[in-house]
Amino acid sequence: MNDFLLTVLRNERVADGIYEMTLSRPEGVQPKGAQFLHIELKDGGRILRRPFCVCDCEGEEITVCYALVGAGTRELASYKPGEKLKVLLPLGNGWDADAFERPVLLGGGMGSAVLPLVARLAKKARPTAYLGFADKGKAVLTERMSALCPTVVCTDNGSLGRKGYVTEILARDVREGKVRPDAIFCCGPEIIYKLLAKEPAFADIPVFVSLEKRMGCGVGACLVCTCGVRTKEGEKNLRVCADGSVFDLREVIL
Amino acid sequence: MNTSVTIAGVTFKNPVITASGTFGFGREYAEFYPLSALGGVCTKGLTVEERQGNPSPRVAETPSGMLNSVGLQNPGVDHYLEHYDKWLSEQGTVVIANIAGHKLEDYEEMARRISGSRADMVELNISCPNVRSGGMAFGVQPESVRKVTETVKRACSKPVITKLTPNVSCIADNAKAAEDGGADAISVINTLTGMAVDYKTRRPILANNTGGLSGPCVKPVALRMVWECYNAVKIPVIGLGGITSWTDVLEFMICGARAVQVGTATLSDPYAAFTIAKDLEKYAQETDADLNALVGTLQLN
Repeated sequence: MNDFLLTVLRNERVADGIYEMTLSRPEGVQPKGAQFLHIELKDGGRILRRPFCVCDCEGEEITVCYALVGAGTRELASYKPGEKLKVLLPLGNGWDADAFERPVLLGGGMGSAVLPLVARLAKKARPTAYLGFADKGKAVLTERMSALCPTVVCTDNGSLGRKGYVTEILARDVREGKVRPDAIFCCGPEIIYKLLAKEPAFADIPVFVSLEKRMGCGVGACLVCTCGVRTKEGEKNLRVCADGSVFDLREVIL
Repeated sequence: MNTSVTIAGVTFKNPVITASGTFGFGREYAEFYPLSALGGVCTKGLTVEERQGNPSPRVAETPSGMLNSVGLQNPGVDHYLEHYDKWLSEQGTVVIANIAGHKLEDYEEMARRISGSRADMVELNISCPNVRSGGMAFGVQPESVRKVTETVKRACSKPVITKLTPNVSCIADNAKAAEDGGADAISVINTLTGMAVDYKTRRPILANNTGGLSGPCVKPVALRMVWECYNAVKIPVIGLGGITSWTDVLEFMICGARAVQVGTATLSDPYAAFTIAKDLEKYAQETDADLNALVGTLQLN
């Protein structure tokens, strides 16, 4: 982990309100799957860095995928190739697909941005990805994921891939034996975690979730990004940045 | 040239101290640079028992600043003594243990416990806006500032810094009250109570509704209050509030700060305190200055 000055190589709109930014990769840095980076904005009035998962990392490039949600991400979208950014990375503990044999990588909307690097770094494991989007206009990373592992794309309205909510489609496939995951790794909006937690088809499968919270330092010092987790010593507020960002779904207090 | 400053008999190699709550117990940042480059490290606020703090969201960015409502989450003083006390004391920097509590007896108990630690000084947190009882409740009324300072002084063998809240009508009165209570120094200012609102949901962004404002936006308030305190008391003033550069440090020293604390800047840039300390040393070298000579040299118009 260190603070690097990285060059913006590309920064393009890839879907409705969604951008992909490619940054120069610092020498010798190999982020693990589901690790994140912390970008300093150039507008000094926005004093907090913005955390994003490392979407992908290959060759000399690091990819970040982000949705426009506020002034900070709109500023990010204005950066041109050649501009330099201060970026702290890699942060968080990441998640290793190779700890399992047949993990399902489940992405809900922008949460799909965590999955490419996780799939890319799977050497022994044979992951299958399920990506769910509201509409085809919001679908991202489907080609990138399909090139890395078998990928099922779903949209709520059926405008792309299978029609339905991604957790329900996965639950059906598990019940029908089409996939037999020995773990589920998921990133998405909180509603998806709640659905996963109560779905009987997943009751015997370990589920890991990559959490997102409003963040401060990104390295574990300031304690602003905590989430409630059931630990052996009782319920604790753990730091998403330093203790996570991946947690066992059954231990997270949603 | 000289960058070292002395407060209550404790010498800091430079006037840059990390502010409580922005630096953990130092371990995270020791991975970025040697803590020995800093004048001092002030720990996260410690309480007798472990505290889980407030629900999240605990942070909201505001123009040139941020609100936080961590609510004094900390592992408790026993955990600190067991896991961090020795390590921190070996980092070659002054260690200030920040202590907090719910009631007067908590502060007394904390003062006793920290007396047996390796910390060089104690900072009394009576100005945290994010806990329901204790914290700022002790810091608003001058009489209670005096009383809690006196209680801690009596129970503690180490020099005591009382950290003042800016959420008062006359901070000079509270500075004097701390001095009357026997404080060896005061630190000024803690965060300003504020709120950030989401117009779409018509709700505050922070789960705790209100939080403490910090960052560059509070610097003018902090400078004014440091100057008022400097003129009100004889004990040293430690200035903090929105410092992000070595020139900010000089401004605080000119207003009367003997030393400074760097807080929120560390969240933006992990190297902030380190860079500021190095830049100050460079300035002192290039101008052959004794930073102590700057303290309180403000000339009013």
